[in-house]
Amino acid sequence: MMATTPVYELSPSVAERAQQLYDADLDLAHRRIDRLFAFLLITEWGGLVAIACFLSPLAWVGKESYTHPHIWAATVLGGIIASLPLILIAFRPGAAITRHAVAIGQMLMSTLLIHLLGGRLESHFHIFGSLAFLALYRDWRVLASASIVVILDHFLRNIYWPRSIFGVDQTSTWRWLEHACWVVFENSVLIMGGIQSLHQQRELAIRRAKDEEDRSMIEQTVEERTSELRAVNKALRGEVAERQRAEAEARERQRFVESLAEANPSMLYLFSIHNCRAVWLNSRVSTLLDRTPEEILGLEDRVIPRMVHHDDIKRLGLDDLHRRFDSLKDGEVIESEYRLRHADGSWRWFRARDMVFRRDEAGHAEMILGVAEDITERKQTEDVLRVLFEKSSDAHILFDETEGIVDCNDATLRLIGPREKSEILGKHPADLGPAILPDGRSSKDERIKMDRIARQDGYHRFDWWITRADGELIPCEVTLNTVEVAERSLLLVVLHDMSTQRKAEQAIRESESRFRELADSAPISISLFDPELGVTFINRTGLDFLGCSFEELKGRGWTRFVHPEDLPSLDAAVRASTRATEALRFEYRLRRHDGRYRWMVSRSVARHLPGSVSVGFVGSSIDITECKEAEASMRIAKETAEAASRAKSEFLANMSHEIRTPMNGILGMTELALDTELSPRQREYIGMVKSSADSLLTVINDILDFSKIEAGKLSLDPTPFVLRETLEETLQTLALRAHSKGLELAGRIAPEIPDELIGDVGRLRQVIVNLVGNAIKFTDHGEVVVMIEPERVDDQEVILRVSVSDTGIGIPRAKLKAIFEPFEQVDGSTTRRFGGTGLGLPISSKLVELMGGRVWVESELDRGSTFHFTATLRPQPPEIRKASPATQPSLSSRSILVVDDSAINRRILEEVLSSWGARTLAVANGQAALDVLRFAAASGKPFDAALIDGMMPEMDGVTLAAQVLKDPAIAGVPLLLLTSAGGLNGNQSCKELGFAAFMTKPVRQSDLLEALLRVLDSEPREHTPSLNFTNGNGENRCVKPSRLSSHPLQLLLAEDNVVNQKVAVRMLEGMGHSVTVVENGREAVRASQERQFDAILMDVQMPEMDGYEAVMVIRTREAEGARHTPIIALTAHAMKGDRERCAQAGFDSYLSKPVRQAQLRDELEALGRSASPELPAQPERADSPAQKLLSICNGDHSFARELATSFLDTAPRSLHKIDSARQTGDSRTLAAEIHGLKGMSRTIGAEELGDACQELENLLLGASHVSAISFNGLRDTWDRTRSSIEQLLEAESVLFSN
Amino acid sequence: MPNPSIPHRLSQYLLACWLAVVTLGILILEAHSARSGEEGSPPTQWPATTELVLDRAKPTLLIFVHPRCPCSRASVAELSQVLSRGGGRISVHAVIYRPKQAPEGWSRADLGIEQSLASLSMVEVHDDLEGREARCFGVSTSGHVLLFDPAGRRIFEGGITASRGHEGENRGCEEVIALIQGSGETRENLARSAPPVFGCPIVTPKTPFGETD
Repeated sequence: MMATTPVYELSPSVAERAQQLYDADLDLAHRRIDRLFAFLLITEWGGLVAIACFLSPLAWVGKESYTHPHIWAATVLGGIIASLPLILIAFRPGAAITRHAVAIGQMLMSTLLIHLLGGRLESHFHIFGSLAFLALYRDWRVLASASIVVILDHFLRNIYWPRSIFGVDQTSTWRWLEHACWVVFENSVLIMGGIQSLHQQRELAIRRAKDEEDRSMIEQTVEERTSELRAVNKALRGEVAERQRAEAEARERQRFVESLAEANPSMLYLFSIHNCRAVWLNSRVSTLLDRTPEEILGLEDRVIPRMVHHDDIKRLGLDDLHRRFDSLKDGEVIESEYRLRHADGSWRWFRARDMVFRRDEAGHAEMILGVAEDITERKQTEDVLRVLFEKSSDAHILFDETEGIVDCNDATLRLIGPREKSEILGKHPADLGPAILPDGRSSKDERIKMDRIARQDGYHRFDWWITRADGELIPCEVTLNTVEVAERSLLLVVLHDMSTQRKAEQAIRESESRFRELADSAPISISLFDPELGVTFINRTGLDFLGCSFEELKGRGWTRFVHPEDLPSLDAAVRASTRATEALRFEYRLRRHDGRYRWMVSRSVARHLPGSVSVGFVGSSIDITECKEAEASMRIAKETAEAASRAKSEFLANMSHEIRTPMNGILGMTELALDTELSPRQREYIGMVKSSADSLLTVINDILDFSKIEAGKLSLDPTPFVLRETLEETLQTLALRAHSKGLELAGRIAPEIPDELIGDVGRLRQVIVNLVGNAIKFTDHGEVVVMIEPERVDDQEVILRVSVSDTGIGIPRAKLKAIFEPFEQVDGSTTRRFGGTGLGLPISSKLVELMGGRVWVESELDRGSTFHFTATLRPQPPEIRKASPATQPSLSSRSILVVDDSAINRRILEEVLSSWGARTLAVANGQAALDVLRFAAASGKPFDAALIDGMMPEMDGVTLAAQVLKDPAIAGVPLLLLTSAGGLNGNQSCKELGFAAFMTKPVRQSDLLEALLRVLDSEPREHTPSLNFTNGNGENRCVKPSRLSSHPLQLLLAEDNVVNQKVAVRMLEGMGHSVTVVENGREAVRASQERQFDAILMDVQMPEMDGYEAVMVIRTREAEGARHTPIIALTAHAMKGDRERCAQAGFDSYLSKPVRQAQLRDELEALGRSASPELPAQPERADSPAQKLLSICNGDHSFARELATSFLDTAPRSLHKIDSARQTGDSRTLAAEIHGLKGMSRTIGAEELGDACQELENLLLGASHVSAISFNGLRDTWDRTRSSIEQLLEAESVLFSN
Repeated sequence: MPNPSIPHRLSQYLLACWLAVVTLGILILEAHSARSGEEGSPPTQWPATTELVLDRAKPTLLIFVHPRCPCSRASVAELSQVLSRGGGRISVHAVIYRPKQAPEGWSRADLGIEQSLASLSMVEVHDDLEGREARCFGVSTSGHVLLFDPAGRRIFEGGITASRGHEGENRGCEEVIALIQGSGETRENLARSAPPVFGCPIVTPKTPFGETD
């Protein structure tokens, strides 16, 4: 290494430094390469283990194996080889021994690798690679160490494996040397490269050493210069700091002065006298004059003095400032108050304190320093105080102890009378009053005392008197105040005139006295309540009533006198009274002085101050106990009377019902009798009986309705109905009566009224019947017309106005209201002449009220009356209206002549015919009709038909028809006669008279249309008078209604009673039905199961299985899929609630026994119709419920006899069983037998016996003791019934024998 | 942070000890490599009990191999060298040991010895179940080679590698090649002992021949 000495001369220090750098670089390189070899050795170790595992994983002995020794060798020996180099790299990095250990280890790794690879030639390259890496050390000794190991290895291998190590066949003893030489060769090359690298390294170190030396010299020079500059800078910084400090102090002083000036609330200024302008001023001028300092400073010379009020300039002599200030000594201050003009133009008061700030050489004032403060507010305050003092209504006097009165205001002079101020100055205020006060005190003594108190306390107030100049004494309220005025202690004496107030107080005292006398003398208790204090006053009457003192009552003391039950409500009333704006009334109980509670009524009136501030109320109370007692007595009496009235009404209703029931029998039997063959006399007598019964029934119905109204039980039953049909039917029922009196009866409904309505049609009809009936009754000539006009029609309701007018006797004006009262008629003779109960109109009136309307009447004596009423109905909703006919029959292009002397009839017919499209002409008499007919025929447009009224003056309908028939030109016109009922007698007469049809007036629209269509369809106009004569019902009069049902049914009858079975079978077969009879519910179930019936009639009470159980079984079966069979319940109970019970049990319908043929027929017809709805129902004449046995037997005498005989056989057996059961106490058999006898009796119409059984049955059901008398009654009834039936049988036998 | 240092002297002692230990280890390793297997007792005549067929026209070479013995890889490589130099003049049978119940491919795993033998064109490979043929021919070490003339006389026996797993020129190879080429002496005529066989035992040495496991 020393051979590489540099060629240029180096200083010792540089050379030394270069050597240090070289050694350090080399050591650093060695350390890095050490770390590289540490990595390489570890990698090689791992590689050796991996190679061994791959090439020789296991050694084998047959099928047994164990770890191959090469794996152990690679792991253990490889680890040992790598261990020392790694340890030295870790602990002695860069050391020469470390490098040698690395080199030897590296070569030993090669040796181990060669062995593990089986001496393969390729493994030798590891040696050359290792040497190349070792050359990085640039240390030839390391390569030498490695080479020695290689050479030794090769030498030994040459000895032991000469032919396997070198991979060639040609072997030689010196073969190892060849390889060693290759190693040496490589080493030589690597060593040369290393030496070159070291040489360069050394040169680099030398250059770096020189650079370091140069840099050190430069840095030393820079350091020296920097030190010099630093010293200069330090001196400069000290000088600058001193200057800055002085400037800061100066600024601080200036800021202090400026702050002082700015903080001063006054305006500071320097003013030049020479040119009269401001030199400096603080910013307060902005606040005080609303001018900026710059604005003031910028003003021209001598402008500022013009800002001062000219009065003040003159007053203060400001127009010559030199004269004002020249005389001032230095430091002397002159004060002045003057006004300056504010920027807004107003004047502001200032108080200025000026001093000479600078003088010229001659000693004249040149500049003034001044301070001015704004005293405007103070000045204003002074003015205000002065005004207050001068203008106060009270007398104000300033009093000095030594100088007396020093000043006073105008009010003082007014108070003490016509005096001058000078007269009182210097006096003592007490001298203004009398020497001796009205209360006797000495004025002199008192004033000393008052002055002392005022001086001591600073304030004193007392009453005094002042003597006016005219001698009048004035009471005053005196107030003394010590005040400071101009640094003097004075007394301010205020005198307030109290004369008016004293007078008012006197007036109040007198008023109070009057009020107390008035209140105490009142006979009622009067008190005052305060919302917070409670009772504040109560008069003597109140105290006497309660027997206590006011002290006991005041506040809430009164509450202990109030009845505890009334206290809460009374408390609430008291609170409400305080707030109420109107008088309130309330009642309560109060304990009187005798300890009794008395009912009181109080009336309270709230007291309010202006502004609605409540101050309580005034209450006045009076004892109403006696009134209360009287009221209670009256209420009890009223309730008793009402109860009696209700009882009466109920009794009346019950009685009416009881009367009406047998009336049905009378009427029914009478009608039946009239249907039989009778002699004229008999017919007359029975007709009179029927008429009387009808009248009686009407009376009873009226009484019943009136009773219901009185009892409050009348209610409406709204149902859908057709208005026009209803009116037509109603009028037709009345037509007979009208026509019998020769009256025209007509009805008209305004076209705009809808037909389908909802309302209680029965009650509506009842009112119309009543009014029309009255009209007919009281009219002898002329007509009765019903007009229905709309009051209001909309979607929600239809209000109708119905008018019934007549041309009758009229009603006196005085009676117009009375006729609506019960039992009232126009006069007593009316009742005698026309009959009637006088209840019709009151009932109608009530009904109309229920329908939301009213009734009134217009009438004129001997001219007629018109009754009006209104009714509120509802239009039917579209879903329940009947479907309109698919095609409305039309009479379009048809011309029809109407001949009627009644104008209203003509109008009605014209409207109806026009609505069907017909061209209509109406004339009033026969002659006009003939003229019109002939004219039409002559003009080639003959009428298609003529409607002719039968009753006309001059020429009646028949005569007109005869005239028409005589005239060939018009004889072909079909004529239709409108006549009253019974006007014609039979078809023959009609034919002979030449009418194609006739109709009873008032004619139904449907009848009229049908007749017209038939007549017009029969054209050519051959006169066929026999064609389709109709009566008012549109039926052929010759056809009698059939009693046979149009729908024969298969029926099952379940009935245990033999008589009832026979009756029912007879009835049903008489109607054309087939009947199967069973005796109890069980058989009925079985029969209905075996065969399908159209309907079942089932008694609800039967042995074995009753009707309820049977229907339940049948319905259960039907729920499983069987067809539904209508079941009609038959029961003799007919009690309220039975219908509902049957419906719940599953019955479809319900008939009470005795079953009437009409009801039975209606029910079965309804069933038949439901089975075949397209078939129209046959109208049926209603049976009377009183036909009893013969009626039940449908007039079949033989059947009636058979039934009676059967009853007479069966009933005694039942009676016998009843007696036995009664004696043995068998209540069940007893009830069953009584029930059976009841059903039997009612079936044959023996109502009396049935009722007796019913009565017994009710007693048994109520678990009451049934006495022997009751059973005796039954026996007696039975005797009468038997007797009656036997008589019937006898009569029948006589009849049949005849 | 300064490196912990070991004194120079201690370093030198450590280096000396380290060198001694490493040298000892290498010597142990080399001794292992030079240790041969059991010599066995091959018959001088083609045994009658073998299932192998003697070639009556030319010499028959038998090599017994444990297919998973790493050392035998060198024997197969040397056999390849032998065949390349006298291939067509002999019949070659490679007898590969296979234990009973060995899974399929047992002999072909890892080392590829069987595959190498099979790839040699003139070598007929035989499975030797449980070393029956090895016993028949008195062979107990993998890599053992026997050469019989067409008359059935054994003319060579021994190994054909220099040490365990080491390829390269060796005495066994030279003798076999000479015999094939007709210039060699039969084994019985040579004074030297038979070349050692380096390989894993095919059968357990303590197991007497002729006995079955």
